[in-house]
Amino acid sequence: MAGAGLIRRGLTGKCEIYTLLGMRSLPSGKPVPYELGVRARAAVTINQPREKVFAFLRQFENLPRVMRHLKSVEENGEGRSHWVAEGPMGKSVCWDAEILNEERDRLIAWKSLPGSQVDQAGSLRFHDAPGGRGTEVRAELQYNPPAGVVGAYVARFFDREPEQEIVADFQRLKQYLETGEIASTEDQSHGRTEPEKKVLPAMEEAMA
Amino acid sequence: MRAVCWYGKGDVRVETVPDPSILNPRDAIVRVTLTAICGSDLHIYNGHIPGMERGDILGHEFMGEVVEVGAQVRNLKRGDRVVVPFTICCGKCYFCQSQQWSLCDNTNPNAPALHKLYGASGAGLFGYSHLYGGYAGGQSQFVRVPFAGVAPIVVDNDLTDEQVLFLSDILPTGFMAADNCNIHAGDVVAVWGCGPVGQFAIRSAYLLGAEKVIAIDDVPERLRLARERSGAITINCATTDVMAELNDLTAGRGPDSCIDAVGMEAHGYGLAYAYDRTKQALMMETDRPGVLRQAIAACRKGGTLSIPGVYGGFIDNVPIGSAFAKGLTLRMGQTHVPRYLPTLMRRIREHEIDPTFIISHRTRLEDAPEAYKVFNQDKGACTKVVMKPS
Ligand SMILES: NC(=O)c1ccc[n+]([C@@H]2O[C@H](COP(=O)([O-])OP(=O)(O)OC[C@H]3O[C@@H](n4cnc5c(N)ncnc54)[C@H](O)[C@@H]3O)[C@@H](O)[C@H]2O)c1
Ligand SMILES: [Zn+2]
Ligand SMILES: [Zn+2]
Repeated sequence: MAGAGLIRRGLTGKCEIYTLLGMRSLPSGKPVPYELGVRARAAVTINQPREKVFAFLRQFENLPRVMRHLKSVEENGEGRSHWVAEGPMGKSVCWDAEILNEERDRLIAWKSLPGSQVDQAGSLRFHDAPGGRGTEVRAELQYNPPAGVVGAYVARFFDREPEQEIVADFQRLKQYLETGEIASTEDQSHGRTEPEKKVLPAMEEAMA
Repeated sequence: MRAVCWYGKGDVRVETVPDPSILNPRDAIVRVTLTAICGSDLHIYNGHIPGMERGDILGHEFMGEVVEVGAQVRNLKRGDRVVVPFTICCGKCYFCQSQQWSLCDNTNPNAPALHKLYGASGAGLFGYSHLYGGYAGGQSQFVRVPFAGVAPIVVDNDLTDEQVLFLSDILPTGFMAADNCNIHAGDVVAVWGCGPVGQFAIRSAYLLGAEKVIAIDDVPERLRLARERSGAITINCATTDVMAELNDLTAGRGPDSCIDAVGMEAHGYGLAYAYDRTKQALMMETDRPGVLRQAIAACRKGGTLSIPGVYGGFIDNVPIGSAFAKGLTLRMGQTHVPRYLPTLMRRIREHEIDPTFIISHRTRLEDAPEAYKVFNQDKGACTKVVMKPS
């Protein structure tokens, strides 16, 4: 799960779709097998003005507040940023990213820099929802599974439903921006003497 | 504190568990003064609700005194006496702001799981499985109430706990069931199920202008309550042909609206029932839709079917063709509790409704395991249990 989370972080946080940008190759120069790479789309409507939603997401340092397993993001200027996420087996995974395209209140598009442990690109697009119902945010992500241990985690995760993972983070983003807090039942009272197997992951496994 | 915990089908126990604490800035902690067992709790008790974990604290009908508030709680303070709706509402999303409170976007931390199951998630609910958020329930001495300034309603001291407790769920549920029927003068409303929800639906249908309400159940004591306290004409479905009787009572028109206040555990008779029971036991069909089928078949052309009874999954052999041919309107869902609180509070105060008549058992929280058993098995003697934490 940690591996999964890490990838998702990376994803939602900082990709920009190569195809969207007309790019077909990784920064390393390797061809991006974009039919083979993992691609995901997700969308959410947030009952807040577009400027506010954009401003929150554009401030990458905010993202660990709403994204599970993302430990930190540091902006280094000139559109570059350094990302640290929880990785498998208690290690962290980090990468650098750069913004490829940005239009205020409309679009953020990015990709990871050469040498990153996580190769990805993605975009976030912002529109006014009809009828004054807030802001529509659409994410498109493309991800090339890395090799090695991290890669195995990542691949397993993306074999399942990457879009569900983005939806889960979008849900938290929405909660945070609409209500100022993220609904939680962690650490509340119960009558368990020892930790029980959580039922939801098992159910989701069964439904997958 | 002491709390009613669930450990499996038919297995609830009162255990000592840690006291709740404020986890989010809009939380409050409420000291529970009165709580009840709901028909919906029986679906959990009987093992029909997925996503429960051993040790979960039950209960979504409760009220009490605010003993602690988080930093961001407005319009609620220590010492306030509150009834807490079973739906947790954020107050800021599109659904809360359009009075569709039980569809709140933001209060279910496990929304993605429910999304996977149903394609969308509504509000988080107290004590009603991890699919609905895994919130600890209010059959306990203390309870954490998230977004405490939004849905809970402060009550004055001239009303007793018993008079207002059912504002948390079943009274608004019965009222919304009738409200969903779009009742006009002269209308005949048929109500399946004479449990608490059915009783309040009958009363509400009259308040909203129904000419005649027909109540259907197979428990003689509950039918008597429906006649004597709620003013319904009754049909015992164990001994009477319901369709023929409804046809006769409406002179061939069929009821203008039908309310299914039974839900997924409908009793039934004959082959179709055996089929549903078997499928439910084999987990092929999750719900037993006997009442739903009958209500669709009975409802008049252009009529409304209102479904407060809970369904959780899949059902077979629902006569959708009949519903289509007759141009029926179907309305359903978890109750938008806060929408109805002001009007119901006023109606209680003005003695238009006295919700206490359904209470048959008053016990201590400590006696919860016995109370669950009785409420589940002896529908005749037991219509509603309220429990006092000591
Ligand atoms: N929509 C909501 O928000 C909401 C809120 C509260 C309760 N509920 C649901 O409403 C339903 C009723 O709740 P309750 O507390 O009154 O439960 P209850 O179990 O006390 O009452 C159900 C009644 O239905 C009767 N019944 C069973 N099969 C029947 C049949 N075939 N025909 C006629 N009657 C039949 C039973 O004898 C019983 O009297 C439950 O499904 C409950 O989960 C929904
Ligand atoms: Zn209930
Ligand atoms: Zn809401």
